[in-house]
Amino acid sequence: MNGEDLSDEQLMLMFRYGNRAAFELLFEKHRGVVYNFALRMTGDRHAAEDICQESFLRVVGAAATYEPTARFRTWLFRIVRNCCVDGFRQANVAARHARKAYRMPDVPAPESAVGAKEAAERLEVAVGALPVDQREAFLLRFRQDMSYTEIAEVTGRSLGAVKSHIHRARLRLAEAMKDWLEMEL
Amino acid sequence: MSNETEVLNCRNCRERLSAYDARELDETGTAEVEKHLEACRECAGLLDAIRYTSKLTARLVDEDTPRVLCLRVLDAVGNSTAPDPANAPEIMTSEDLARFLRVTAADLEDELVSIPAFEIAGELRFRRDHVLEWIEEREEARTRQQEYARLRAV
Repeated sequence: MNGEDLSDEQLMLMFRYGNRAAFELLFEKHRGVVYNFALRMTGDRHAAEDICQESFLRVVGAAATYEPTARFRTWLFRIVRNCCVDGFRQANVAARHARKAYRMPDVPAPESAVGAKEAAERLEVAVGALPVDQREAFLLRFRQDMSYTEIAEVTGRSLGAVKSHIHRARLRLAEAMKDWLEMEL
Repeated sequence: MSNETEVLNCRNCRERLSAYDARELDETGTAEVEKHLEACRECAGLLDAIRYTSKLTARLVDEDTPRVLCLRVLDAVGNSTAPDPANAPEIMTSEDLARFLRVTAADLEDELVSIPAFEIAGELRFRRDHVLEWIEEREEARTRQQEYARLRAV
C-alpha cells in the first residue's frame, strides 16, 4: 500500500474501518517524532518507549470513534502529551530528569571554541532542565513547528499561557547557552 | 548599564525579547526594545543567543526509534484490529458492514444499492450470510469479466 497521496486523517479513517496497513503507515510516519518528543520530555529512554507504545495503543483504542474534526497530528500529540503527564504522575520521571539535567551545566566548558555537537549537547541538557510546562510548549513550537493555537489545543492551555511558557523557555535557554555561544559567535 | 533605572530597563527588555523576535510586539513595544538594544550590548547579545538557540533547536538530531518498540506496537495492533469475518454479527449495521468489508463509510455508500439489505426503524441492516453470498456473486462476475476479456484478446 502506498499512502503518500493520503492524508493522515484519511489513513486514520481507513484504519478505523479495519485497514491495518493504514495504521502501519501512520506509525511509520509519526513514531520518530513521538518517541523523540517523549524522550526529551522525560530524559529517559525506557519511559519514552513506554509513552510511545501507550500513545499508539490509545490511538488504536480510539480508532472506532475517531472523527477527523481536528488535524490528526494535533489529536495524536494530545494523546502523547496525556501519556507523558500520566507517566510523570506514575514515576515522577520529570523530577528525576530535571535533577539529572540540572547537574550537567556544572561541567566546565572546553577551552577551545565550542563545536556544533557540544553546543547541541549543551542545549539538550538545558531543554531537559526547563520546567515541564515550558519544555512541552517549547518542543511543540520549535521541534514540531506547531502554531500557538495548535499548542493550546494539544496542551489544553490558553493562548496567553502558551505564549508565556514559550517566551520564558526561550529566555532561559538563551541564558543557559549564552556563555558558550559567545565563544562561537 | 549600571544605575538602577537602566537595570530595570534591561529586565523589562529581556521579558520582551522573545516576543520581539517573534514580531508579536506592537509598534510602540518594538520601538522601545530597539531603542534599548541600540544602547545595551548585553541585551543585544541575549537576543542573538535567543535566535541562535532556536535555530540550533531545529537542527537537533533525533534518536532512532528502538526496533523492539516498533515490533511491540505493531504486534499489539495485530492482536487488536477487530474485523474478523467469522466473528461478524449475524445482523450488521452500515458501520459494522464497512468494518466487515474494510472500506470507509463513504465508499460503502456507493455500493449500498447492490447489497442485500432490509430496513428497520428507518435504518438499513445487513444479514451476514446474504453479504457473503453477495461477495461470491461479485467474485464470480469479476472472474467472468476477466475470462471474457481474455477470450476477446485471443
